[in-house]
Amino acid sequence: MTVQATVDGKVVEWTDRKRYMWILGALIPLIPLAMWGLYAWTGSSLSWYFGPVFVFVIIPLFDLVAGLDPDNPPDEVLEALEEDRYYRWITYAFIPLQLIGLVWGAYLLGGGTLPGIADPLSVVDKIGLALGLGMVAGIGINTAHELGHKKEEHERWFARVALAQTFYGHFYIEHNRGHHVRVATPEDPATGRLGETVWEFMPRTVWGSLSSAWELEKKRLDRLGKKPWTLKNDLFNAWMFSILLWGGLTIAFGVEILPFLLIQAVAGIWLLESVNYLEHYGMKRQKLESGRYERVNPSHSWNSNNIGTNVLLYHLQRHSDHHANPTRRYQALRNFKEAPTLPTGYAGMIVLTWLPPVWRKVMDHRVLEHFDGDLELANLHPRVAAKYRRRYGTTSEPVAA
Amino acid sequence: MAKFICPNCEYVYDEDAGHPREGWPAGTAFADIDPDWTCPDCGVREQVDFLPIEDFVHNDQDGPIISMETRASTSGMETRAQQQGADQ
Repeated sequence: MTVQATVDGKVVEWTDRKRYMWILGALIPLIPLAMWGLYAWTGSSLSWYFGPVFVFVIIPLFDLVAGLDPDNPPDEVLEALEEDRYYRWITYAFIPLQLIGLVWGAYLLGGGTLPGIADPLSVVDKIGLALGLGMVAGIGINTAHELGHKKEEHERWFARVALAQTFYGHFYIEHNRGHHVRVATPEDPATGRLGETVWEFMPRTVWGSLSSAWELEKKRLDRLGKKPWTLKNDLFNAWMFSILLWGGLTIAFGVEILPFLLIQAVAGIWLLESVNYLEHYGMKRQKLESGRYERVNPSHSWNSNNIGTNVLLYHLQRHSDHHANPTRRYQALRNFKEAPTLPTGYAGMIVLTWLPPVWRKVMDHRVLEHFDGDLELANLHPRVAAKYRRRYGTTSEPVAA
Repeated sequence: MAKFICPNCEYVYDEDAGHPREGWPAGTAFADIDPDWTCPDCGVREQVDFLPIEDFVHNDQDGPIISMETRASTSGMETRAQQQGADQ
């Protein structure tokens, strides 16, 4: 279908080649269903591990084969493209499917059986199933991310629902009012630093994001003359969805599902925070004379045009445009040729983060080249600062900020 | 009373209405708002970045690099070329 806009009396037309591919993103929550089918068909217990295999093997391989998609909509049609409701309905559709998959999974975790699944799952099977539910949950945080940035109030509530599965409702606050403000600065818990491993980053971002979200809400409620212990606190009203969801599932399927609910939540959060780690790895905005940081620009985010991950993550990898224009809808995000680009899609890059020496080998020289070899311009992790200065030839201490 | 606009996402702060949820009751002058208060919609512009609405021409979302880049992109060129073809 063609989008059309009239600017200065001229009609501009553009065809979105990805229009129907976006539906694939709403198929992610069907991963649990695929496990069922695989198991019924093959009878192999490995079927329960389909979720992580899909995210960390199939998507990265698809990215390598399918190649790049640098196609940009022209400026003139951006508004019409954003107004096209079709695109937002795809993101809404994700949420009920996500919840159905979770209920289905919780039923099996509670020892249930189904046609094709004659015996209750073993503990090893259940761990696999929980990891698969976690993959959906993590990508659900990405759906919540798309919706939470929008101006429409109902979409912001949808975001909270999508975050319920991971108990990560505070992400909606911290991401929009914390991460976007401080991105690519040493103060941002959700910006990976040069030389920091993903294993160090995880506790820092999880705890830092939570405490930042709390501070942001506390400050807002202070202005209203209220204490933070109220349901008006967006943290609590977002977490309420999790309490209802987890509580309902526990009542329905038994307390034995709780450890597995925890596993899927951790897996989902890990997936999301891994993406946070790599999206701005080593990037730093410089301080201006006024004491403020320079404005976020396309050079502060890592991008990728690998079409597989892009379609499944609603153009999240067109990350520079997202940070420049946070309220812009996914279908209208553009590729910037001069923005830093990762060697492959986010899914494949996550796999590299697990082995810090491999990650550093692939990424550190890219960060340095991005800053024309000037290590002091990068967001250098304090733990490795002395080592990196020796290795990369800068001997001078940084100028005190 | 005056209105001020976020130059990124075009959120409008209207002094008459304030933004009670953010802690600015109706009638709060824009000058009384914290300078580091971020735009409640996009989060990437602060109080000091806002413009009086009458000074606003267009949003600053597309810096010169971005627009040039988009104009140079193949799809943009094609639509323009086709358009010129259609005009002639």
